[in-house]
Amino acid sequence: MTSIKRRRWRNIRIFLLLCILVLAVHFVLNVSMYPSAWLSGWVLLALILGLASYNARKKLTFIPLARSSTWLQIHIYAGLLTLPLFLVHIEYRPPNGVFEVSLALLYLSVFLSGVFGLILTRVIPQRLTTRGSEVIFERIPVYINKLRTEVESYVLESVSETDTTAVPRFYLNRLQAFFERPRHFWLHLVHSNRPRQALLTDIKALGRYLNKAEQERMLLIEDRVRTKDDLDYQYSMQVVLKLWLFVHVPLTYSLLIFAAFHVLLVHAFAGAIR
Amino acid sequence: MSGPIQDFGHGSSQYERPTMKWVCGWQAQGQPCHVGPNSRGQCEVHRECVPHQDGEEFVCARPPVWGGKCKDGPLLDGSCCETRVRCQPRRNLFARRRMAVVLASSLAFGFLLIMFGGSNAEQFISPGDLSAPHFIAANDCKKCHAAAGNDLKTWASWARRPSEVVSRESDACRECHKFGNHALDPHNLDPRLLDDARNRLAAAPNSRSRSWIVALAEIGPGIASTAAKEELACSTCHHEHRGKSFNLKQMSDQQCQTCHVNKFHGFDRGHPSFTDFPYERRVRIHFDHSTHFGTHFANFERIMPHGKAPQGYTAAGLEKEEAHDKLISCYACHKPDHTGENMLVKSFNVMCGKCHGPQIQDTMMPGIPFLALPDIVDQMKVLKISIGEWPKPETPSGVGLEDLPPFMQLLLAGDDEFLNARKVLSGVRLAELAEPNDEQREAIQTTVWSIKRLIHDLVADYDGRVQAALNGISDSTERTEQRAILSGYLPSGMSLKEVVGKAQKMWFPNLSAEIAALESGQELESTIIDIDLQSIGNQIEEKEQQLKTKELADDTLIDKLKQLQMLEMELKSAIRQAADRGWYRDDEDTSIRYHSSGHADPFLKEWIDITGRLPIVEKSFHAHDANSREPDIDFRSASAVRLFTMVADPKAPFRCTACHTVDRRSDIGALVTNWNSLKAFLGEHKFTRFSHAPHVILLHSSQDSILKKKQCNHCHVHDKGPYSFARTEFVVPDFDWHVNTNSNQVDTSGFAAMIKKTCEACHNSRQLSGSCLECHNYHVGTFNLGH
Repeated sequence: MTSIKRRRWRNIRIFLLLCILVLAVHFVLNVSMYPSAWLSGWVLLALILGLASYNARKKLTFIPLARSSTWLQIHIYAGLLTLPLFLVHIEYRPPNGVFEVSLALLYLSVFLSGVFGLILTRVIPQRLTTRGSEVIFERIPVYINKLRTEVESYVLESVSETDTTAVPRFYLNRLQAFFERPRHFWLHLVHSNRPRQALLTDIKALGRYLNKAEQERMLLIEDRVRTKDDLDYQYSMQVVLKLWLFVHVPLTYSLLIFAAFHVLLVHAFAGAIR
Repeated sequence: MSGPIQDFGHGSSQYERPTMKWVCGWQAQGQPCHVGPNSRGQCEVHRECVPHQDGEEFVCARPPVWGGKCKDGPLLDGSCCETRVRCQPRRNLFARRRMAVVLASSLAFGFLLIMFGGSNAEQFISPGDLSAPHFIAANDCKKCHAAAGNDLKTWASWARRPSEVVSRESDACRECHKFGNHALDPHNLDPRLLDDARNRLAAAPNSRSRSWIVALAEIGPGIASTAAKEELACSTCHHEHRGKSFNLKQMSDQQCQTCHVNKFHGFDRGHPSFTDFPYERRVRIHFDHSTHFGTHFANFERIMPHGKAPQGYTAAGLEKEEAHDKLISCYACHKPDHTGENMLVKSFNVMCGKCHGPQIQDTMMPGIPFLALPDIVDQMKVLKISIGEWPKPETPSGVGLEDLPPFMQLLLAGDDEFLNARKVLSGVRLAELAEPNDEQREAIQTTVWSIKRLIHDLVADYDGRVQAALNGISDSTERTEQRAILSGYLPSGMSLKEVVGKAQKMWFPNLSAEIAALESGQELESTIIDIDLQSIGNQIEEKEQQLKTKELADDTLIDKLKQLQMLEMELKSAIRQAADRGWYRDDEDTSIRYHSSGHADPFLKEWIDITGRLPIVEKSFHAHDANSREPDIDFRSASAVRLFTMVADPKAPFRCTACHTVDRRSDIGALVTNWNSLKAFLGEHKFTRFSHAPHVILLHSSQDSILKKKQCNHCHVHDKGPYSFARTEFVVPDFDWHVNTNSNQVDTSGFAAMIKKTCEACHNSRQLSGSCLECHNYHVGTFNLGH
């Protein structure tokens, strides 16, 4: 078993043990009439604050506070642990009241977006290696621009060499928009090859009407089309990989604000604290 | 793809700075500059490069990654030839994410501030509907929450004082739920009582078999460790805002177990056996089922006046089977209350009147003395006292100056001369006094004149004299009707005032003149008055005529003597009847007596109650043992004690306390007579509750023939004996046979003790629920539930 798998199994076992401990402690405290919601609430809040501090840890790289990968592992399992804690905190009952429902929905959004992100971070990187070569996200527009420039030069060369407009017409009709910016975002997310195949089919179909020089140019253009499509795939995957945090992180801070108000209300209104 | 699109060579790959907030605006077009915006988001590039001077020439400094040196090179003035259009810098992803965070946080914060500051804030923050019983307060959070109705700042202030929040909210609960002084103590009991119980149970051997969860809960930070020392907030157990259908009272058996010393797994698995339940205290009406069923219902001769069976029954009581079955059916005496929980007893007339009514109205016994003239006629000459007129009784009453009837003592308690004389005569028996000294003689005269003045005052100003005596022992604000009864006014028949008036005319015909002469300083010679028995004789003659119709058996002389004696007793009884039930004058022994009008006699009841309520009576009534002195208390208090002793004597003719028990209540300083059997007071909650209705219905509808026949006897099994007719739980058979005032005694009323096995037949883990709350209450005491 690789070290990653071993680590994973070890962490899963620790997580399951902690889950059982949380449930058992809650049950015993419930039997002893201790206000377990108070305890679980504070533990949950502390956990969420700890989870939120991962963002800060990533920025404060100069402080020796264990490796970021360790933090990530803790973040993942602590995040998962918040679910049983949350369930015991609400005592397995759906919340009532506008504020509490909002708070619960916020938490669930953060949790589910976190789980979603975890899945994405495990699935997408592998997918990124299946097509094209890895590229830095910020450079994708540069490469698209480069490809566009190359294709446009091929088109102009074709016109000057053959004095026909089949290739330029085809470029204007079918390829100009394609090379303008990243395309087929949603289709790439579902791993669809249909737009790529459609373009290549059109290019192949056009080939019957081209002369030899034009065909040579079209071959080069076809190659750029494939490269562009790969870039689009990379772009789609990487956008998702980056954008899920646009949901997860802001919601986390909103959750913290709601939680702060919740703490205020509980202490001001609830008599559950002896 | 023909080759890797990304080249990481240092000359061809620019260093990306993802942490920089701003990126070149041309990046989206794929043509970013190599400098990038400054930290303020401003584009600083308008040329491709900044040429550097090499001697006299200027050299293009465009980096290789951006194309290297340009073809044309810098201008002559040293500026770059390649202009570049300024971009509009854009934020990078991190910066945008940070903006999203700020935006989301601001939205959340703003939203909450608006909602919390709005007029519907409380609806917004409400964590859910209230339970059905509290729904009436649904729109008024202030009813329960101290922080309600205020702003965010005030909430923050309350949030810093959680203990005060708890305390105030428990107080809010108690506005409606009045549990008394120990509302927040476990079981609403005085903690000292619980400590005693806890110590007692901990010392006693028990199984202490409990589930591991309860064992863990014991050692945790929960209620088990704090309940003994602190008050418990209401919200410890009762959680609101969980919807209309939520049961506020729900609690698991394990939660009950965490506090209790005796722990067990279930009702049929370890629950302690019944010890005294439900007979922890003696019955309020002295009634023994086993003796009645086993003996009395078949033995009227022994107990009934004249040995006569009650109406409708034969002497043996068994011959009339229908009557017997009716007599021994539980429903002959018991009926369920309106809730079906308790089985109450029917009225005296229905249950007991046929047998005990004649006993109570037994006119063969004399009434209790209200006023009795002391026997001093024989000593008048010896003592050489001047007391004016004094009647000579036909039969000496046996009353001495020192043991006047308690009623009389109470009336004389306000007479200082009498009290001083009493002190002088303390310990002196008149009959044994041969040569009184002057002081004693004076004291005897004073005492006698006090008695005569009392009778004179009762005739001249009856109400004033009686009220003065009553004021000394009772609250003057009591009901007028009660005062009237205490003063001897009866609904029918002669009042005490009238009887005293007639007695004065008979015994002291010139009393007014004598009193006037005494007050003017005259000394009055003693004169013996012969009571005019003529009127009595007329009554006897009249009764004789009536009784002449009775045939006297022609038997031996002894038999005739017996019959004559019986006739005399009947005559005397007839005299008392002729003198009306209630107050009557007995000229034979110069006394005024009261004869009970029957069961629930109001006069006797009020006097038993009013004297029993006196703290001094509670303290002094048989508080000493036979060998020690009576407590040293003032005369009025001692009279009240003697009065209570007389009216509450179980041997008294009216026999009130032969059946109605008297409880010593040291907590309120009173002796409380139980005129009624167990009454389920509205709002009374005990530790254990039991409802008869469902169980009786079950027995009635049972298919089991044995069960159906047994009915109440299924649980209430008659004790087989031996029977005891003088139960020490009720009567103390010492030298003067008085009531036992200790109510904390186990008394099964003639039934065998109940056993847990009877209940376990149905209440077990396999069939019906055996949960704690099924039979037990947490909150005990008398309180309303705020409905």
